[in-house]
Amino acid sequence: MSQSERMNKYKLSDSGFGILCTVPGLAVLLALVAYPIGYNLVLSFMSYKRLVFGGFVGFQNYGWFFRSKDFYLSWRISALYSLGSAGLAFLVGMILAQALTAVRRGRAFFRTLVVLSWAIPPVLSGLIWKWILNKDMGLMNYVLSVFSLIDSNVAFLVNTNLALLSGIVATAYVYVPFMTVFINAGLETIPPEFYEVAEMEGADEFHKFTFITVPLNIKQMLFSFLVVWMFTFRTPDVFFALTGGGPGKATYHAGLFLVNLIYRYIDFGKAAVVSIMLTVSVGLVVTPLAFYIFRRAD
Amino acid sequence: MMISWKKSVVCAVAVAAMALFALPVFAGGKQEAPAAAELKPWEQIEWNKPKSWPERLLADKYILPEGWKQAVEGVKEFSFYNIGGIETDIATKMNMMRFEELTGIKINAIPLAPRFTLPKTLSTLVAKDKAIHGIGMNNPSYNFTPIAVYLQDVDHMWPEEVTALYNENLINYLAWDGHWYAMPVAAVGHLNFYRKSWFEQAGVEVPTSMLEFAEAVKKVNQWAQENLGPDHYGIVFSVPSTELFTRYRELMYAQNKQVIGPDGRLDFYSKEAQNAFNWLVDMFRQGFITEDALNFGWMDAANFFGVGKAGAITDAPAMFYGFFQSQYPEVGQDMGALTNLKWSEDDPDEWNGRSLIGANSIGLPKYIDNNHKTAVMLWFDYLRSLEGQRNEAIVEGNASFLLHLWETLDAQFNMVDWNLADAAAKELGINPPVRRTKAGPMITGNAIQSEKSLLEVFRPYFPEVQDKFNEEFANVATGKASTEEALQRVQEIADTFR
Repeated sequence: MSQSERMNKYKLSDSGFGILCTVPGLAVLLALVAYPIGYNLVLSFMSYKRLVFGGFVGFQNYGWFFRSKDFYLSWRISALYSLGSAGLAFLVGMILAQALTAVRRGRAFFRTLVVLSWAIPPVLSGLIWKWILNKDMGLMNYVLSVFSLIDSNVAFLVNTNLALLSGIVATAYVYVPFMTVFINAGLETIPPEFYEVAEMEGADEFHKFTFITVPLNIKQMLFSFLVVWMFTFRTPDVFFALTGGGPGKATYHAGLFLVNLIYRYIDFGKAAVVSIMLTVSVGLVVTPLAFYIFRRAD
Repeated sequence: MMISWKKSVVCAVAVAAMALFALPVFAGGKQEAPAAAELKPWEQIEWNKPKSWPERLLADKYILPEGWKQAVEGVKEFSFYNIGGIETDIATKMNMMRFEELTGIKINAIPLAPRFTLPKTLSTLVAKDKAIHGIGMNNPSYNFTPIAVYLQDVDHMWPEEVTALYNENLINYLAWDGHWYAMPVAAVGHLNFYRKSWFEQAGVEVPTSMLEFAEAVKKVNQWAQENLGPDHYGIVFSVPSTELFTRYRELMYAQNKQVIGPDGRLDFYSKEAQNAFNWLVDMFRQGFITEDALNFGWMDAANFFGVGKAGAITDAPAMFYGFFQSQYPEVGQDMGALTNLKWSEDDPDEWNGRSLIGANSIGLPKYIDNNHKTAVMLWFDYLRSLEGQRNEAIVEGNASFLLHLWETLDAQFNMVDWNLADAAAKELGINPPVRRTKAGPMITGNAIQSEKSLLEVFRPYFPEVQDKFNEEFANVATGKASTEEALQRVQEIADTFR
């Protein structure tokens, strides 16, 4: 075998080199994602309560989960909350993004202004809104009474429906900047000529929005909605600070159900099932939609 | 050729993955070699020298045991979880400063909100975080089952002659499965506070029973709403987390009834249980308390009272009085304090003051090095001493399990190092504490409750019952259920754990 043949024997193809380069990243991914998921899956078939390991219990924890009233309650609340939060953030984000494209002077200033509330962690937003919405000392009741919009102070965080709505508002407040930036980035890619031609054809603002803005920006819109929905479906930060899941269980988010199982009842087997079902629920919604978005992008 | 490379890569990935999966096994499997018959550092300390252990603990100024210095060799500092914000814990700060002065070991107190105590404790212990040397526990009795396996027992620090110095029920709080796992930092007495000026203006006498208290709240509420506005109320207390059940327990004790029956059953069907539950929920149903209190945490209720929105606050930690006296004198001077009262006028007077006492305690992680363990044990010893407990009771306004403190209370006022208290306040950035020379309502209340306290031990399933109790309470308060339905559902949950 000549030297060049020997060299060729060890020569790496481009795809081979590519695969090799992904190994470190893949290994980290396996350790940080696959291992915990695998471990969690194993745990879901075990009895592991108050740090006492009780051994394999088959599908017992899953049976408990589907019989649990808290599952149906918390999943319903999570669904309403996440759709409401993502929807409200989307609506306001869309309006702001459209407004930002129209701004000609001081654009950097207004963009900075829009993203400011992004810096606020959701749990802190919950605390801020807890005081804004306080029945006896809150800003909201004060403002409403100054404008004579209410006869007596409203207990926003005690009324079942208003408490959920309050959570939605407090969450949207944090995610509006994300939506705005994301949608605005998409809007910026639409050539202005499209709008100019539409105007020449006699299209009004509504038609331009419906037939140009939305179809050409649908990918960004759907994706940003999906990301916020996903975060809010599984994360209870706002309710943790705002209502603690109450009053009663009026805002008992699926994430709070999980947190209680881990930290109050210390039942890791059942908590594993809840976390898996949360992942499955999010995955069932996100996977087909993400597939649609990416296929459309391709 | 290319196929074989791909195979190699796949193999490499597989090997890397297996190695990573195996990593935690090896990392977790590392064991400390057993130290043959060698004495542990704390076993080398002469705990009964230069004086006997009780004499050292009860000395006017705490006396360190002989041999302590060698036992903590190399320890420059340690950290512990302090339940609550340190800025309200002037006694803890004083004790830290004094311990540092005695030993030269620096202490870091890491504040921990009560609601995060168990999550943080659990995470720290399971992760075997060696940066934390003392674990805060505010409800040790029902938390011990899960965490005892991670704690170093301190049985040697509780010989018979030392145990005899403390409330005999303390063992229920700090021991589990025949071993002591913690030391008391302070006992938290609970009192009812009221605004004297509101009561006077409403023409209400200071109540002498809980039924009278409810009547007083009704009148004060009416006066406040008419004179101060509709956003002022007769009373405030917090509902979520552990606070509501604490208040319920107090009302049970006011009727000379315990929450746990003689057969170990939590009984929510009794007449007393219904009385206690209705006493609380009626405050909501009749509008004597803001609806928002259903979401109030402990500090929310305290702030609500402090800013002048409520005429009374029930079941507030006694130290609250001292805190307001020094930090917000205009509020503190208008505050009256009552112990838990007997249920009705017809009940015997000895039922007054029957109350629960919370035990803020510290446990010692098993996995930290022996010298640090010993340093923390010395800190434990100091905290429970007369000097440490005197600071808690007189400067801060906490209760104490140390019997000698209450037996010699009058003499203790002269022993307080007020200069140290002022220095501690300065470091915390708060006003200096009020220099007390005799027992006022707060310390008297603590003294009574320390003597009459009931230390019922709740088992590990208890948080699930407590959460159900809070949930059902909110349902009744918001008109979605009746008391009978609510208590029946709580009883069903409680019975599943028997």
